Amino acid sequence: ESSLEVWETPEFDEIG
Amino acid sequence: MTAVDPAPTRPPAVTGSDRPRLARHVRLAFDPTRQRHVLLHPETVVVLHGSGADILGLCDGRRTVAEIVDELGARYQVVPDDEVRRFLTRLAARRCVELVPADG
Repeated sequence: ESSLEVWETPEFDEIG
Repeated sequence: MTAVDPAPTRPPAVTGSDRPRLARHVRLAFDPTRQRHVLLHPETVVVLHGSGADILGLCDGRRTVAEIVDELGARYQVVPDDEVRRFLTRLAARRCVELVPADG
């Protein structure tokens, strides 16, 4: 078992 | 037919030796409505997904991108450094992130 988190690809949405 | 440029400007890609920080007019915050971290910009809100907020939380202008990836490695099983660099490059293109000169 690993206590490390699973990486999620960093993304963003830009909202005007 | 009008081509839409996906990024307002085209700065050089972020490298492992760059020292990123949030731009002066940008603030990292948690939006309780969206239950997401956001970047507050004078004209826009940038909603962060995935590990984006964790990356930006380490962007203090002192750590290099390589050091940020290294620190994230203590928290995550795998940290693809190319994803971190691409994410920061896209935010730099929107002037949400700026890179501190290595000598400065």
